[in-house]
Amino acid sequence: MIEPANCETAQSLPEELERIFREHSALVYRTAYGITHKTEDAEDILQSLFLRLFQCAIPPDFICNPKAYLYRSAVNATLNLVRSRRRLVLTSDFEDVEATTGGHRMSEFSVAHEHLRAALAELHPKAAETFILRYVHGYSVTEVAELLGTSSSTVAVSLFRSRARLKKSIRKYLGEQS
Amino acid sequence: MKYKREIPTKILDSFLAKLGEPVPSVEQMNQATDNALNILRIEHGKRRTAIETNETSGLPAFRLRWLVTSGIAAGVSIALLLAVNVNRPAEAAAVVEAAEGSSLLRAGHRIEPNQTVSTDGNDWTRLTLADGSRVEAGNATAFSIGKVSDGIRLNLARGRAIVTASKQRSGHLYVETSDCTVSVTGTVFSVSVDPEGSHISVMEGEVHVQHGQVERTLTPGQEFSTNPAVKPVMLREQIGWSPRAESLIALFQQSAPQISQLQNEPDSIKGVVTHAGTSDGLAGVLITLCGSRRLPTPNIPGGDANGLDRKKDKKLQAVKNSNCNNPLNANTDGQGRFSIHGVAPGTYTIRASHDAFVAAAVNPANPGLVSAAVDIDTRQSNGEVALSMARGAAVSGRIRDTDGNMLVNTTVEAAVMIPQKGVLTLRTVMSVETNDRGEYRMHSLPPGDYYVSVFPRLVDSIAAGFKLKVPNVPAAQTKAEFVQRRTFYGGVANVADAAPITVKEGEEVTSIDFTIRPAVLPR
Repeated sequence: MIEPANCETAQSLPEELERIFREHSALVYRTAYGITHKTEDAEDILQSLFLRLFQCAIPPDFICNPKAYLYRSAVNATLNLVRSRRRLVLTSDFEDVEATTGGHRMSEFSVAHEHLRAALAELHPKAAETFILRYVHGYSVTEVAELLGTSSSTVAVSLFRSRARLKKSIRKYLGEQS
Repeated sequence: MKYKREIPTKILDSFLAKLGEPVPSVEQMNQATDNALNILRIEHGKRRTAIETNETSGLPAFRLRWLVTSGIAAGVSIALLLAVNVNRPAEAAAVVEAAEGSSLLRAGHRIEPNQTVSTDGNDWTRLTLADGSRVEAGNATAFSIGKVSDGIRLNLARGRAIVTASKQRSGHLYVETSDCTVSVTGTVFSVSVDPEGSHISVMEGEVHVQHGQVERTLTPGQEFSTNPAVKPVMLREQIGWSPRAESLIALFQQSAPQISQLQNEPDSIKGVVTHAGTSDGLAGVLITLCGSRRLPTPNIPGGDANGLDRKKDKKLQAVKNSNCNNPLNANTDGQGRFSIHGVAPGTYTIRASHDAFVAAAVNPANPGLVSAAVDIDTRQSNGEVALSMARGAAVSGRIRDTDGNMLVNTTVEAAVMIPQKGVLTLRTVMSVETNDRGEYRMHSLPPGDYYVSVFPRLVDSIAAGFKLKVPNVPAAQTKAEFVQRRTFYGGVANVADAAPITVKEGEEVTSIDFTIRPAVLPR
């Protein structure tokens, strides 16, 4: 998925940029959508990420490995969005549920899930990248390790710690004294 | 207790199971990609338009040509100087590069140091000075060029000139008129000398002007007149005689786009802010004009009949509007009138804000602001924007739990029902928290119908040094899972059962109290 860097292939723009965008847009979109579950958020992140790359100077990381750069940027942008819109997401989700279910009781876990989404945004960026590859994109631990160029045990430890943090967060949220 | 250990695990497991689900469809992702690329094409189109405009007007192709021309000119000059030096050791102060007219000043003509030259008979004359600077002189211009200890001095006795001073390692280019001295290093400016006085306009770089005891530094877009009676003229008129006028204006617009637009296409927005339902003007309203450039309309596959994807266009426009980095501001006078001058063509959002007055009707996007969009090109000839504002209303009350305890730091929201995609949707317009006495007050609400609701805090937490009250949970429901549930005024959880609270202008609606029951969901 995230191939080794090849810094020799400097891209000519914008045709080459468009080709790269087309090739990796699904990765960006799915990363954003998998976390936010909102089409408009995923579209916004895709657009803003591409627009930023188009308007600003292309960073060397992007030239070296566009896929890795776009994935990392998508994760960061999505988690930033979750952080900044935590309150908004809570409110609008509630309204959406009310609108679609005619005001019936909302999903039992949905509010808790929103809390977990916010807690996910508080993870270390590297841990979040690993976590999202595993649980949003569904890669196995071995595959994640290959993609990130690290060992399976490192990935497993990172995932275990991230899960523990999230569990602790939900415990705190529910008022349990762990 | 066992459930306390199990619940977080279950919640986390269900969260992880749903995290990547549902997988967006290929069509959905392709559509999003196309939309994003369409926006990039708009941006690309804008860039191309800008580049083509510059090329048409001589930039940056002009710069390239200038480099080539100056290179050739320098080569020719060196060759000429080498050839001439055999017979004439003195170095020329300037060489005429090109000219148009009947004067004897023709291309290749040498101008000796301190020799007074007149361009009578020539429409324009272009010179290259010894330091590489260029001077374009208009018709009936008299000048001389000499050396000074730290550079070159151009004495302009009459007429007008455009000076493109080359960047110099040391020294300056001085332009002297009868009443002022201009010193520069690497800049473009125009100087005109009339019997009434001198006038300097800067197009690029920085210019230092000394007029008697007065010293001024001018930047692009700024002008200076030695005589206040000399009326400023539009830049286009000032340099219109030059064949390079268009490219210089383009250069000027590049250096100071906002100022150049103001100078070249001045316009104004006038308006009035009134008290809603009356014709009384409101004084002291802050008016903010946030600008947005009109978007180009290239043909985009998949766009609408006008070649634009309206949704995305709107989104881009919104982005431009929200980037209100350099707003133009004004305050309304005693009659509620305002005017903002020097506005370039484009689409703008005018916002009105006041401490006591709010929008006359609820604007879910921003209830505290009154705004109107105005298009400078298409607005009516009277050009007056009318805005109305109303006194803000307030809703207050108290939140208790079933035991009669006050709930502090509890979120209370006021929401309005708005149609969205054909479905009535609740949109929150204001949110406050209760104080230490369980009281809340929402103020500055525009008149309208509001659904007031409470989000009870069901989490045992420590805040401000004391323990918050946690509602008692019946023993039979100890295995229940707590979730936050919104309770609308009247104690109902469903918005369909809730009654809206109608507030009128300036009204204070009190005693909107809530008694919150523990929100538990049976397993």
